[in-house]
Amino acid sequence: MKTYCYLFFIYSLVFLNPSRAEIEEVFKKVEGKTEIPKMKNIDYIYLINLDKRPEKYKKTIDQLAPYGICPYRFSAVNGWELKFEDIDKIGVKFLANMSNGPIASVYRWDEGKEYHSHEIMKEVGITYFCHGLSRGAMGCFLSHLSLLQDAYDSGYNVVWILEDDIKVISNPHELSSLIDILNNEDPFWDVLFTDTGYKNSEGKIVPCTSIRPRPNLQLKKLAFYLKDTPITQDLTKIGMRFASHSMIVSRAGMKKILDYIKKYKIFYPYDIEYAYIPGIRLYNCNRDIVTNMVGASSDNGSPNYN
Amino acid sequence: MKTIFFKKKGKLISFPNFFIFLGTLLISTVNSFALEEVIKFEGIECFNGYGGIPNNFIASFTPYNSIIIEAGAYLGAETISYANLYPKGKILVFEANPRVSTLLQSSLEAYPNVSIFNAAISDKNGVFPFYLCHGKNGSNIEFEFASSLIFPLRLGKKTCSGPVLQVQCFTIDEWCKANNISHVDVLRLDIEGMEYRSLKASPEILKKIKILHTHTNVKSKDHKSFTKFLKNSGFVLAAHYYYESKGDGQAIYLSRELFDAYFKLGLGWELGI
Repeated sequence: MKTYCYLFFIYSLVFLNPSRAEIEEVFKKVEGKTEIPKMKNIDYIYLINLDKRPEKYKKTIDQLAPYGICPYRFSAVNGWELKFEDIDKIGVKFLANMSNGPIASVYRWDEGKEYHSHEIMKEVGITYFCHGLSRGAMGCFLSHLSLLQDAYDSGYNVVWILEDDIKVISNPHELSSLIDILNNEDPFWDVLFTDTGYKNSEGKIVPCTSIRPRPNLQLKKLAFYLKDTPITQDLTKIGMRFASHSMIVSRAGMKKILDYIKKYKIFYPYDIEYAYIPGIRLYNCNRDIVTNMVGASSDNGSPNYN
Repeated sequence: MKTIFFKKKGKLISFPNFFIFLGTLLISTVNSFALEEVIKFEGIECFNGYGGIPNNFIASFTPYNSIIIEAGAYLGAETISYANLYPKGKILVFEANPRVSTLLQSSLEAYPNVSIFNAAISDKNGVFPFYLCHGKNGSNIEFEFASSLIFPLRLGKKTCSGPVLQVQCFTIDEWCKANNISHVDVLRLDIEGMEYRSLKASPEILKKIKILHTHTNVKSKDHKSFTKFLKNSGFVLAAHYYYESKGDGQAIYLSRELFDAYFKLGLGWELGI
């Protein structure tokens, strides 16, 4: 009898756990993938673009075409059109064994309508996100995850994931040489950002100087994330930064990001979460090769497209 | 007779013209003081920069179905803002002035989330005098925004006189108990000097208020006691804007639970507040 009780307990933990809804159910399938021009050290190049933003797609490919780079266009996950049930699957569920958390965002359904609510994280079974996390930010996160899953399943070793707000500063083929250097310096690297950091409307780098607690994960001390170490004249190992407009991800990086998010779910935007992934090895280029377009319009905070 | 007085930009200014010049200077100086009223801020620096206390800022800390009590709604400018921000909220509005209360009833008819009560929030339950302010002559209803349960000593009877009504008063505790209100997400008080006394008289609901938005006057004699009382009751001052000369202002206090949830657990602040 004891054995049956024990087995039932294990079964309850595994199968009746409210946090068990799988986030990958919400990943968008990558369809109609085409052969793209080869780029040394990079197996595939993806470009995330909302169907409602053809002008951003054009601006991006126009910058890459002179270098013979023609990424696969991925029809982005539009967070503003996500089903309510899907939102419930991707966030952090509050469990009975958790202590009360921060003020967080909750998407509530009431009389046939959705409401964005701001509540202290304490109701068992409810899905929470960090305070103010928008549907747009969820869509951006899910787009990256969908591509990482596709890249991993396709057996790629290195992929380059671009968003449609990039600015090409110099020949992107330089990145192939930088990957050679990186492979040499740190064969276990995970992510290589193709610039020195995210630029604000004045073109200045926005430094990432603080960390925020995560309800279901104990972070390291701030000093750990603030540590930037130049490893060559071209590359710097970094603790954290902002933005995800141009990321080269290794196979190890794909796995780390996917495993992390499947275990801990989405709480913060992608560009905060990736730094929190235990053991992740992030690198910046020491000069801008492909960076963000200053002042580009975004649909993250609200759907600004027509 | 013309007396030469002084030179201005090489021109001679005559004595009678000087008085006109002086008068103009005086008026412009007074005007410039009036226009450049200094607004002071105290509180948590990250809240500064809003240039006031917009309700959508408050809404970003509260549930979509918040319970909001607004005492001293007057013509309902804030009420409409709350009604739009919280379509699923419960907005309970108190206005002691029966004329204004009737106006509110009709102007807010379209908002099913708003309930209006012709009563005053006070420190006692029962019927008490309510001093309508009709200005200096006691005949101008435009001054009714300054009406109060407190005899109009501050402005003086000469500048604020008018009819005295008898109005129904409740403590917040008593009213919430009678109406099964278990907690209040936002309590907005603008009740012409009765804020401190009303809160002191409602210790039970005070424990269950998340955000207090109150009128203040740093020049009133009980301002320091009010501030101390709120601190001792577990509130943390988030933002307080006030006019330096007049002393009038608006303050936002957060319950300790909300403060910790946002700053400590949310942003990771380790403050010794």
